[in-house]
Parts: sequence; structure tokens; C-alpha cells
Amino acid sequence: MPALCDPNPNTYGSAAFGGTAIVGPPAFPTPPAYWRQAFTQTGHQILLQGTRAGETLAEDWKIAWLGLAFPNKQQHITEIRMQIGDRKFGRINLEEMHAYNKPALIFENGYVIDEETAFEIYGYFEGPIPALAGPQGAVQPGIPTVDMNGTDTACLYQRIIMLGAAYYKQSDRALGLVGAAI
Amino acid sequence: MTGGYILCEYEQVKKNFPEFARTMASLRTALIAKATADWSPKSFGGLAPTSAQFGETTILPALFRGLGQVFSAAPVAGTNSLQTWHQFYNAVGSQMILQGVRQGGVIPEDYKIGLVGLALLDKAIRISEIKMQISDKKLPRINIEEALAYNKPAIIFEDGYILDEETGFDLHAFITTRGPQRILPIGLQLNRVPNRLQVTNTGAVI
Repeated sequence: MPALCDPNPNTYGSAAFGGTAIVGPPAFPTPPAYWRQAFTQTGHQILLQGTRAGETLAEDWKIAWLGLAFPNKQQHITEIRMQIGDRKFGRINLEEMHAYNKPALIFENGYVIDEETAFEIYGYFEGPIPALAGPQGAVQPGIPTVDMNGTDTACLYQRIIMLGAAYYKQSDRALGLVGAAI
Repeated sequence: MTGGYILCEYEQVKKNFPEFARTMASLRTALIAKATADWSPKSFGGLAPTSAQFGETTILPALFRGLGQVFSAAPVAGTNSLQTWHQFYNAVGSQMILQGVRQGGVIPEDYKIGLVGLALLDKAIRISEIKMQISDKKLPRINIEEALAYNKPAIIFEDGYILDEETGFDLHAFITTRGPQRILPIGLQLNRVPNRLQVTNTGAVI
């Protein structure tokens, strides 16, 4: 579930993305309700990480992780790097995804992300992100935006879905409102 | 036929070209055996190697320079090595479109690459012919305009090639039109020092 993860901080710019509008520098106030993220910056950045302090997975949850799906027509992530606990995985180039319709990265051996264990997935967001203002300074129609500290900022969307299963110790942890924080 | 190549639809290659799996598997085995011998006593550590192991990953663009990028002793991100496989061709005719990032077009120390082909990941193909050199081994000109008939074409070699550390690699092409192009080397890469890929930023220079 996306509520177990923090995406890149800019996704939280607006409540429209399931999070709470923030004031100040991008942070991780509440997790979003879905895997879609809004990117306002290119380059190396967090894609997904545990939602608790220290990027840890919430207590009483365990994840069986098999891969990542990128269900977009256009792909923006070119490279990833990840860490589970103290186990570091090297950089992987993903541009082969451009040959596929709805690509996925599947691990030959799955991984267990244990409760209260840190995990981070970093990625390189290629861009370019379109400029909100056109050559004459006027706002261009059709450019997706996200509210960044009260300012409409041009962004690109990318949905990154963790494939696998999540297991929980107490059933009421999974019985809240759909899309709610855990 | 050995030593040949095939132009095909990359989306279909794994379905309709079972030889590809064998080529890939045998190249991977050969590359790991070579690395085990060259980098002894390190052993193969896969995607998450420890300090006593060497690692495996996809071929990274940071090991290469693209069209118009020149060698620099003090690497500056994005100016003298590729961050992604995307390039913008700003010149036509016979051009060097890919070469090792180190001086003289050399693959960096501590990296070995297994190359089984090239995937052309754009709708518009802007090159008509390629020529490749790996160390002192020259591969002749290959016309690839058949690729225009396919959606996402790829050139698959029937025998893979090993680009060894500290050996030269050049890929030349005849560019027909200026514009963006994404050409992806298909294969795998082994790295002797795990930390270089485990702690550097994605897209960063190596």
C-alpha cells in the first residue's frame, strides 16, 4: 500500500495528491493515497522510502517485494538505486523500459522488507519538466501543476508501484478508510 | 552462423528469438568467469555485492561519452559523460556516437561490460549505418536502415562481445538528421568495487 511509503517530497504539494498542503521546504507530512507522484525537479532524488522516522517501514507490517511497475505511457525514470536495512543495491539503468508499453522491473529473487527496517529507493528523473510560462510569459495551458507552498509549479507525473504483498499483525491496521494514513 | 547479427523488433526478441537467451546466458557466464579470474580472490555477488565480491548491473551510461562530449580529467556531471542514453544529435554524417568515458575512449578501470546488441528506443531512427571497434578488434560497417521497418528495433549480435576494463570502445554512426535519439547497449556490466555504484547518485559520473 502506498500509505506505507513516502514518495518524493514534491508530491505532497497539494491535498489533491492525497497529502496535506505544506508550508516551508518540501517534507513528508502524511503519505499519499496512491502511487502517483508529481516531480518538479529533475535529477537524483528519493522515489520511495519507508514512511516512519529514519525511512523505516511501519511497525507490525512486513512487505514481500518482487519488483516495480511503471504503468505510464511515458517513462521518466532512467536509473534507480536502493537500500534495504544495511543492504545496498547498486545503480540499475532502466531505459530499456522505453521499448515496452507498461514496463515492470521484476527481481529474480524477491526481498523481504521487515517492520521497522529502513528502505529507500532513489532514482534519476530525466525530464525535462515543461516550463509553466510560455515564451511570451503567459501561462501555457495543459501543463500539469502541483501546489508548492502556495505556488502553482509545473510538474510531471509518474506512477511507481511496488509489486508484491504486505502483511500486517493487527487486522484493524488494515481496516481504516481506504487511502488513509497507517 | 556465428559472429553474425540480426535486426529485429526488440519487443519481440525475447519471445521469437530464443537464441538471444542463450547468447545472453553464455556471455554472462563468460564475463563472470573472466572477472572471477581477473579480480581474484573476489567472487560474484550479483546485485548486492559485499566488499569481498564484485557486482552485476545493467550497462550504465556513465561509463560512456556521447556525440560532442570530450574527455575531461576533472569530470563534470553531464558535460563529459552520459547521464542517460538519450542524446541530441547536433551534427550529421559520420560521427562517433558512443565511446568509453576515459581518455582515448577507454572503458574505466574496474568495470567489464558484456555487449549483446543495441536497442534503438525511438520512433524516429536517425542513423543509417554503424561501425564499432572494441580494443583492436574492428567490426565492419553495418547498414541498419532495415530498422526503419520496425517499431522499436534492435541489433542483436549472435555472439556477445566483452568490453574489458581499460580497453578502447568506439561506436560510430552515419547520422542522417539532427534530433534526439536514445540508443541503449543491451547486455550487462560487472563492477569490481561495489561502493562506486552503491553510494553514488543515480545518473552521476563514475
